[in-house]
Amino acid sequence: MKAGLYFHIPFCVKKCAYCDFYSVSDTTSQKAYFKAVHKEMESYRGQNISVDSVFIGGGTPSVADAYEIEKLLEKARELFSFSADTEITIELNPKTFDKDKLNVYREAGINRISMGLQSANNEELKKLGRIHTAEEFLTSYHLLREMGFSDMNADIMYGLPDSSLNTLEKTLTFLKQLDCEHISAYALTLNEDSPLYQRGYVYPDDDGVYEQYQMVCEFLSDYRHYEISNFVRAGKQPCRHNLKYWTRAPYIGFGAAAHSFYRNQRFSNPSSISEYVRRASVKNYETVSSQDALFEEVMLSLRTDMGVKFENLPDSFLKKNQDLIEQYQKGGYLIVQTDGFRLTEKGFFVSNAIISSFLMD
Amino acid sequence: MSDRQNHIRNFSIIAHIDHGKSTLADRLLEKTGVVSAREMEEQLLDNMELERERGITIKARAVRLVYRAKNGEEYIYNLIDTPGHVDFNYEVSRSLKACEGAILIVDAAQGIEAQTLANAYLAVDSDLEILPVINKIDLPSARPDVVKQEIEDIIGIPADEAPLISAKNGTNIEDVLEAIAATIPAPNGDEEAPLKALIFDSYYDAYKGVIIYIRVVDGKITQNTTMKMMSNGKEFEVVEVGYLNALGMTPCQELCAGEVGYVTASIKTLRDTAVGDTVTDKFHPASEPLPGYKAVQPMVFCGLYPVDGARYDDLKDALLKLQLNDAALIFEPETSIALGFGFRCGFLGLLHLEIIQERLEREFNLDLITTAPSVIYKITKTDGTKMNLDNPTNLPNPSEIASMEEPFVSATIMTPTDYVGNIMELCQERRGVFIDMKYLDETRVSIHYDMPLNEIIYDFFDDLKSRTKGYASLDYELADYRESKLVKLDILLNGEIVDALSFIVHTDKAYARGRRIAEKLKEVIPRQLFEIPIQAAIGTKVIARETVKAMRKDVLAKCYGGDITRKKKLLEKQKEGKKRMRQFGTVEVPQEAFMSVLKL
Repeated sequence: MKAGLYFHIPFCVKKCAYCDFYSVSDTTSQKAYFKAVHKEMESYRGQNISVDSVFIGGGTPSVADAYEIEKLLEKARELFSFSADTEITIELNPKTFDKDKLNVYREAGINRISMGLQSANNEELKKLGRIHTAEEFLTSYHLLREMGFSDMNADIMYGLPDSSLNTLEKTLTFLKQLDCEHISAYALTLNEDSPLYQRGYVYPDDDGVYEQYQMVCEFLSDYRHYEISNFVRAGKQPCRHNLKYWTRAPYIGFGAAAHSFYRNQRFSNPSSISEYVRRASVKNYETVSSQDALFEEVMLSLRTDMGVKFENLPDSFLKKNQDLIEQYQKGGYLIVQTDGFRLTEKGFFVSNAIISSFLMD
Repeated sequence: MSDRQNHIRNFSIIAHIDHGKSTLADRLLEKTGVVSAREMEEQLLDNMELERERGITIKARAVRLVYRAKNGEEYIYNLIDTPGHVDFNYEVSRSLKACEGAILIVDAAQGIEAQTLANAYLAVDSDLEILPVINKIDLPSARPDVVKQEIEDIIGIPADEAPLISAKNGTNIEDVLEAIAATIPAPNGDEEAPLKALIFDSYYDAYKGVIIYIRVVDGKITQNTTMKMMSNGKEFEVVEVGYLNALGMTPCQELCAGEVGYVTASIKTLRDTAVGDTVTDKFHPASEPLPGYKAVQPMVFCGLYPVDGARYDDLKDALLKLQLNDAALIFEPETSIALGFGFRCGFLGLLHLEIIQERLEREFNLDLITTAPSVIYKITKTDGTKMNLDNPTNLPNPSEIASMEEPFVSATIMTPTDYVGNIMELCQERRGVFIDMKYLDETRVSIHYDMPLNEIIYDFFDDLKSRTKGYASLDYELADYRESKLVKLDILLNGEIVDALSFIVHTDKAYARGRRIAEKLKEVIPRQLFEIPIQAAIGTKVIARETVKAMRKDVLAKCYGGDITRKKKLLEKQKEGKKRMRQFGTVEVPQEAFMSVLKL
């Protein structure tokens, strides 16, 4: 199986109120940071690893110099063996790029764009700490299309502060008009110590969030709901890089806080730029035992519409969970197919409970 | 009376809870120099961790003090401590039997409370000389003169000379020490008569076996005595006799009539040496035992189950260990459909239950599920046979029951007059039968009710305290059994009876109680993948129904840049959470659910 490469670019104009990815708004360490990423890539020299997806995420990669992104991909092509059709995605935020930058990206081989909309309601965008309005998103979006990017993802969120089915409907209607190839729709998840949580907004309760989720599913019914939070337009292929996570395919992460799964080991980099720059080579390695592998297989494959295959499950698992599988099918949470079973849209939204019940000792 | 006896004083300290019994005991130890300042630990006599924390004395203890009085004579003071809670009344009465006198402590601010009176009556019944002491005179709200008058009016003993002390500050402790020698009579047993000694306490020591605390009434006991328990005929060779010091034991040659001390005899089980029993000499036996012995009867029962079924044996070992030191604790294995393997345990009262439960959890690190507490019901079946019921699950089919009786207690509540209305309301709600009300003085009354015990074991005391701002005090004793209209209330989850939640209740209360429990369970049972009907039912008749709606959202939305480990950890945590739940068919019930229902 070919590997995916992930590059974490931990720079943002301003951190969003809900975000718990690692990022900083100070870009003075940029040069040193990219240098360290190059150094980290160098450690794979000579291994000739085959790659068919690259994901440049963040943070906001478009905040970094386009030149650095170009160099990064250049280096990657030098050290890894890229397939001709390698999917190369970059995450952008509206207002952080112009024509020149996009030209560089295109020249560097980037062929897929993921841009955060989150909401079409400017009030909500403000509460989330986003730096753009819905109108500004639209301007950026049209620019991308004009520049010829034909594989586009937009992120939205639901379960937002003071949200309702009405505000969500506005976002979804806006989104539908864009006709994106791919949509990621996330339920806002907040820690209790998150500043956004403590600001005293009213959040929909679990039933309310579920109703919003149902609305998302209905609006996107002509998309394929291929993973809990991901939709792809009918006839198109799911995000290749995204699928690597759910199918236990290898991926190598570069940069601060980046995670890797390679040669049956999971490892990650330190999540601070300075520490990463100092000692990128220090990682926490964790070998995946066969027991962990089963856990992961069930946990990850049930997030997708392909579900889990019987052939990947030991008999003991099926024997132990036969009653549960039947019950869940009766309850409309799960569908048994000839070669395995998968969760329904209703099942996706309670997947923690379902998966953990399957994995009880 | 021998000169030796002339210089012995055996006494207890009795008081309402929190009136300062343990503090005074500490001061007496300090002033007589048994304990040096360095060794002085507060409330030395209470040496169980829990006792110290709760500030209550659970088990009686005894200590020997030497006091040189102002008249130049040296006296041996045997202080026999007593438990302060109504659950342990029998132990109080046994301790008193070992004494000639009792120091009655009354709080200078609060005055006489229910247990002050109950304990004073116990002392009077045992023909003890009562030495009243008024404590806490340092409090701004102290009113020693009023309290003196109360003692004279209510208890009927002179209180004019009562020492006025502050045990906390060590004020006037000398007065108490002097008054003991002056007021409390010396013992007067016959040293030449056959041995008669009262067991007033016993505990298990891992090295010496059971150590019994005795008061020799007649005769003497030595290292060479073969002793015999008069209630059960068990015989033991004495290994050691001695005196009880605050910090340990001092062996001696013999204990003679009038003296207090300990005996060891390689006794393996506490059951053979019941408190209240009489010890005699096998070869020169007394003809009659000391009067008043009775075996301790548990009044409250419940099932105890380990949350983790695999820890059943640990629970059993822990109960056995606790039983070594607590003869009142009884238990036997039982099985619950809902909870698996556990034990039906009997306790003296709800406090005793709570203490045991807490000790099991704290000292033995066990997580427990407790089933609804029950009293013993007497059932007469239609075929004429009779049975005692301590587990609601075993209630026969109603068609086979001719009649049921429940235990009633005679309850005395003392309160400032302001709260009489609230208390009467509470007692009526709890099916109490009003007996009488007496004015103690212009501001305080003593209210007397007959109450069903099963109404008292559910948070009656807490309710009483909250309705009287903590001013009312309660004392009760088992009165009799009375016929009553009782039914078994079952709780069903997802259509199936959870036997651990069944309990017996009066017909008139069943509806309200069933509804409250159903509502509470709805609160504490987390939403699950399928909706859970909760029903309260009597037989096949459902009297309350609630539903826990199906869970809608339990999902990890985002993947943090391929951070699978984080997801795994979250799910592992969820799995661990599930393990702490009890599974009933498809329903998972958290341990707290059981506890919360008991508090209703």
